[in-house]
Amino acid sequence: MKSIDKLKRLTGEAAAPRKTEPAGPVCAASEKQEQLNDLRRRIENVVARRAAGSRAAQEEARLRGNRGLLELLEGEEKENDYGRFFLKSVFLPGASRHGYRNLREVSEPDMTAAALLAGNAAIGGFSFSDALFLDTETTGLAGGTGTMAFLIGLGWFEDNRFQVQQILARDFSEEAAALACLRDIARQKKFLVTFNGKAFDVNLLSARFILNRLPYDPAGLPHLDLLHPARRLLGHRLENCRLATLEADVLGVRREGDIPGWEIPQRYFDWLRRRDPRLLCDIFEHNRLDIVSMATLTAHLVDIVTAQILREQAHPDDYLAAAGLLLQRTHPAGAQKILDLLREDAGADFSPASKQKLAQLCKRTGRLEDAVCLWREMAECNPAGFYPVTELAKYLEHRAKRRAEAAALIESALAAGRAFSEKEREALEHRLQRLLRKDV
Amino acid sequence: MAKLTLDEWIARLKKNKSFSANAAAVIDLPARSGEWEDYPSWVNPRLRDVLAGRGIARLYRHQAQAVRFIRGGKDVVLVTPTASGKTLCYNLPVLQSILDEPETRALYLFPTKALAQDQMHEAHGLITDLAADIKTFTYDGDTPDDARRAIRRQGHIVVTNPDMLHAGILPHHTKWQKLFMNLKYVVIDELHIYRGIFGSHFANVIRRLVRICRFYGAQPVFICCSATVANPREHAEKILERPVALLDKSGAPAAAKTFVLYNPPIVNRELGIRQSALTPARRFATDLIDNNIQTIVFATSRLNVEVLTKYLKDKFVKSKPLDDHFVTGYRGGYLPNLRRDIESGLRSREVMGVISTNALELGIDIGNLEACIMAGYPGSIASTWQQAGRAGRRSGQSLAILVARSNPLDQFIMENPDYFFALSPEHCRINPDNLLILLHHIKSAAFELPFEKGERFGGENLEEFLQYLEEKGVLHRTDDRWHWAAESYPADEVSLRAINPENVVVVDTTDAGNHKVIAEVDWDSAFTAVHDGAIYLLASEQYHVDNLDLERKKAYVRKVDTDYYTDAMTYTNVRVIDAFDDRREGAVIVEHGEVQVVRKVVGYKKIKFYTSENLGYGDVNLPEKDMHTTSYWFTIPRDRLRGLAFTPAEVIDGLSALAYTLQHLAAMFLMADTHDIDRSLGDKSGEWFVSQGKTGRVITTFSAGRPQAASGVDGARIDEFDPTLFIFDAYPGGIGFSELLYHEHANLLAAAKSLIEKCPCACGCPSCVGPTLEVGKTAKEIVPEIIDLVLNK
Repeated sequence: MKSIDKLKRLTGEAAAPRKTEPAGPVCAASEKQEQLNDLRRRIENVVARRAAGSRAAQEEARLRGNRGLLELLEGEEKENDYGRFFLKSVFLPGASRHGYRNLREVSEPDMTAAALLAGNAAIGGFSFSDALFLDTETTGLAGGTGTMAFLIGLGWFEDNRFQVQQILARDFSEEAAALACLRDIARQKKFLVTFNGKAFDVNLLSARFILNRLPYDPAGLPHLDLLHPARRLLGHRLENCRLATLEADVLGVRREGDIPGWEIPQRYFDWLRRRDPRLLCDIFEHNRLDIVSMATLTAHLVDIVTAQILREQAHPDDYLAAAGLLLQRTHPAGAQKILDLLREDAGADFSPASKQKLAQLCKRTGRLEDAVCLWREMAECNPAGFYPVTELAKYLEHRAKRRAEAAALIESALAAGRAFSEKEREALEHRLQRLLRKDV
Repeated sequence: MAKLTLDEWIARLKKNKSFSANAAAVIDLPARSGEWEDYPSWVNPRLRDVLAGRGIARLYRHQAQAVRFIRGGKDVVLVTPTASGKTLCYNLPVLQSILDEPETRALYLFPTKALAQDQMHEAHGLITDLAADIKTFTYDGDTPDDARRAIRRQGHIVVTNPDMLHAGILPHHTKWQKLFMNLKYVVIDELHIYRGIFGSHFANVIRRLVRICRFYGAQPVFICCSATVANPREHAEKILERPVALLDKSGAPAAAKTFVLYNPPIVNRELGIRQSALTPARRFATDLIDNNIQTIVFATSRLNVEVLTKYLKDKFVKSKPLDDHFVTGYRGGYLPNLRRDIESGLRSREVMGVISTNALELGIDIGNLEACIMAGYPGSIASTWQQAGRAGRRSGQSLAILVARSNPLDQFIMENPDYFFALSPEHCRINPDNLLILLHHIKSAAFELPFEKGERFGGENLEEFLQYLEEKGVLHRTDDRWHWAAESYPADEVSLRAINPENVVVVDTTDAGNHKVIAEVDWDSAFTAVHDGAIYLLASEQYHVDNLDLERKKAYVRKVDTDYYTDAMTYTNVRVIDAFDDRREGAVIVEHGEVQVVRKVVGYKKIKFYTSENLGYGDVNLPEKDMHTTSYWFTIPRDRLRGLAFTPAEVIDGLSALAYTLQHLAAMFLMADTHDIDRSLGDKSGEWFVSQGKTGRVITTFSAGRPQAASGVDGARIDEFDPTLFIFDAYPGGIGFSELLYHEHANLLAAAKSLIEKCPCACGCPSCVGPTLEVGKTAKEIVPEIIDLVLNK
C-alpha cells in the first residue's frame, strides 16, 4: 500500500471499512460532523483535480490570466536579469484630492520635522522626493519565512506629481525578479516611509531577499515608520491605530468597497489556482490607497509637530502630545512653538486633563508664569484639585516664598475637598504641617 | 537523640534484620580513581589558565579524546556518568573555536528550559573568567522581545530547547542568518530523552536544521551527550542520519555509593500482595530527613508524588508548622516560580526533603543531595541511574534505594539484580518516518524553504507527500519547486512532546470572587485526572472537580478535605484495519499491522488514603478517544480453548491475565516505558471486547452503535468469537514497537511462562499474572496452559 494511503487513514480522510459502529453516546453528533467533513473533502478533491488538470491546460490558464491582468489593470509585463513580473504604474497629478488635502499640498513637508518623527536625524538632510513610500500585500500575517510579499506597492513624489508603482509576482517563480525591481528603485531613493513597516513589511522583505539569495537589505535604508508617531500623536483619541481608522477619523478619506485585509491572502491563493485577474483588482486599489494615505498622513503629522494651525481634524491634545515628543527628542524650540500656539487659545475647549498636560509642559520648558496662570485657572474651577493645589503650593513655598499663602491654600483645599484619595490627603496634610512648622 | 551521619545510617541499616530479609541486593559501589591527560597543545593559554583556576589542571582521558575528535570535525556521542565533566567536552572546543575565529557560532539544545538556564550559567561563568568578548544567551519562550534581536545577531553560543528551535528559530531562519552562516557546533545534551514520540519529532527537527544549514552553506559538527543506554551510537546515527563516533569510557573518578534494591514484604501470600512501595519509601525518607540527611524521593506518578508529600508533610510540618518548605513536592504541573524556589531551597539546604516525579531527574542544579529513594522502578535502567545520580553527584558517600512495586517489571529487577547492575540497559527507539510526524515536519520544512524536485527528506517518498499537500492546497507547485501557500504557521500546529498539544487548565473556584488557575493538565491525562467527581491532588491539597469543560478546556475545582482519592476506570476496544504481515506459529496466527483503538473513561473508584480501601464508584460521561496506531496481535481459535478444563469465565480471566503479563514483559523486551504500549483483549473486528466492570470482567458487544454487556452470565459468550490479544503502540501511527514484538512472539511467551512459574505467590499476584481480585483465582494455573496451547507444546 502506498504510504500516502496509510497517511490518509491516519488523518481520518480515508475511513477504513467498518462492520459495526464502535462508538459511544456522543456518536450521533460526531457522525454528522464526519459526514460533513467527508462531503467537504470530496468537494475539495473535485476542485483540486480540476485545478491540477494537465500541464498544458495549466499553462494555457496561466497565459490567459496574464493577458487578462494586462488588460484589466492596464499594467505591463517587465523583465530583468531575474525573470519576468507584472508592473502597474500611475501618475497622480498634484491637484488630485485625497481626503482633506490634495497631493500638491503634501509634497514638501518640513524635513527636520519628518526626521524628528522618524527619530532619525539623517532624514533631515533629504528632500521629500527622496522618500520611497512602501506597502506590501502578503500571503499571510503569521510572519516567518513561509510568508511572501506578492505585491510590492511603491510611491514617490516626482515633478509635482505622485508616482505609484505596483510590482506583482504573478507566481512564486516571479518573486526574485519582483524583488530585484524593488531593489533597483530603492537604490534611487534615500529613505523609506511605511506604516508598520519596521515590524512587518521591511522585515518580511529582508527575509525574502535572503531566501532568493539577492544580496540586498531594504532595512539598511533610513526609515520613517508612521505607525509609531501616529500612535504617539493621535492614538489618545482613536479606537485603534490602524491606517483605515486614521483615514476615517483624521485624514477624511472614505473608501468605497474596499477589500478587507484578511481576505487578501486567500484571494492570491485563489489567483494561483484559477488565474482569474478580477481576483487581484481590489487588492491593487487597496494597496494604492494605502500608499497615498501614507503621503498625506506624513504631511498631517509634520503639520502638528511644526505647530501649523489645521482646520480639520486636529485636537489640542494632538499638539500637546507633539510637544511632549519634541521635548523627549530634545527639541525644546519646537515644543515652545507649540506652547505659544496653545497659550494663545487655551480656551474653554481645553479639558482639565489637557490643561494639566499643558501646565506640566510649561513647567518643564521653563514657562513658569504660564504654568502658574494655568494652575490658578484650574484651582479656581476646582479648588479641591490635587494637582493644581500641590503645584501652586510648591511654587508659593519655594519660588515666591509666600509660605502663609501656601498653607492657606492647602487648608482651604482640604476643607473643601472630599474627593481626595487617602494618599493625596496624607500628602497635602504632610505638606501643610511642614509649612506650619517652618512658620513657627 | 544524636543525629547519624549517612555512613552511620547505612551501617545501622545493614545490621537491621527485617531490612536484610527484604533487601534483594545491597551493593557498595567503590570509589573509582580517574585517568588524566594533558591539554592538547592548541588550547588557548588563557582558557587553560581559567580552567586550571577552577581546579582543572588536566583533562580526564575521555574529555581529551572528545575534544580531539570534535576539533577534528567528527560528530560524536559521549556516554559518561553524571559528574564526569561532559559539559567541558563541548565547552572547551566551542570556546577555543570562538577565540580563534570570533565569528564562530554554536547552538546548544537541552530538553528543558531549566536545563538550558543552568548550562548557560555554566558557560557564562567560564567566559566571565576568560574576560573574552563572547556572548552566550538562552533563547526560549521567556526571552523578552527586545533582547531577541541582540541574541540573534550577537549570540556566540545560543542555548535553547528543541521546541523553540522548531517553532521559534527555524521558521524565522532569515533573522538568524548570522548564526546559521557561521554555525560550527551543535550540542545535543540528554540525547536519550529524545526517544519515542518526542525523539521521532526531534529527529525531524534535526533534518530541518541540517536543511537550513545547507542553505547557508554551514556544516556544523554535532556533539551529543547521553546517559548510559544500550544503543547510543545507533540512536545518535538515527537522529543525525550520518556516522557518529562513540566515546563511552569515562576517565573521571567516582565517589562511593551504596545501592539498595528493596522488595517490600508480601502482606498477603494468597493474593500475592506486597506492601505498597510508598510505605517503605516513606519510612526510609522520614528517618533520613530526621537525621538531617538531605533526601530526594522519586515517585512514578504525579498522584504518588502528592500522596507521599502529604504523608511527609503530615510528619514534619506538624512539628515545624512555620517551615512549610522543609519537605515539599516538585513536579511539572507546579508553576515555574514555585519550582525555582524549591530548586534554590535544595541548594541552600532549607529544603531537606523533596518528593518529585522524573522532572528532577535531568541535570537541573539542585546541589549535592545525600540520599535518593525511588518509590517504584522508574521504568528504565537509564532513568534509575540518573535518578540515583542526584545523590552524591560530586564526591563523598551517597545512598540510593530502589523500592519495588508489585508489577512484573519491578519484580523482574528484584529477582535479577545482576541484570540491573551488569547488563546493558534499554535501547532508545524512534520512528522519524511515522507518517503523521513526518507530514507535520514536511509542512514545517516547506514553510522554511521551498522544496526542490529531487530533494530528500526522511525515508518516505517525498514527492508523494508534496503532491498530497499540493492537492490539499497547502503547497503550490511552480516549475520544479513546491512553495508554502497557506496563511497558517505550521510549526504551531504540532507539539514535539505529545500528539495533542492542547492543555486543560485547572481553575480553583474555592474563593468564589477570585478564581485562580492552579495547574495545567495535558489533554490525554485530563480524561483520567480531572473528570467530573475526581479528586485532584496538588501540593498535597485535595480538590474536588465540579466540572470538566472540554470545550473551554477548563476544569473547575474546589478545595475539599476528604479521606479518599480517585482512580479512573477505562475501556479499550481495538479493531484491525490492515495486517502488514502474518504467519502461523504453533496453534495461532500471529500478525502485526494497523489498528483502530477506541478508549473511553467510564467511571472511577474512590480509594481511601493509607488503607487503599475501595469506598465506592462514580460514573463519568466523557467522549471516547479514537486513535490509529500499530499493533502486534495473535488470535486463538475458539475450539482450541474449549479443550481446557476451565469454565468460560476462567478462560476469559486467564486470557486477560496473559495480556497483563505480556504487556509488562514486552516493555522490558523493548526496553520501553510501560506507558508506551498498551493491551486489549477482544476479537479482530472490534465487535467484541473484554473490559473490567464494577463487579468483574464483562464481555461487551456493540449493538446499535452502543456498547453493552453481552450477557449477565460472565463469559458465557466466549464461544461467539476467536479471542485476539493485542499489544499496541500507545501513539497514533506507532513508533515501531509492534514489528519487533511480532518477531519476538515466541520468546515473549516463553518468558511469560517462566516468570509465572518462578513467581513465589500462591495463585497469582501483580508480579506475574496481575492481582487475583482482577484476574481470578485460577489465573496462575490456566495461563501456562494457554501459553502451551498457543505455542502448541
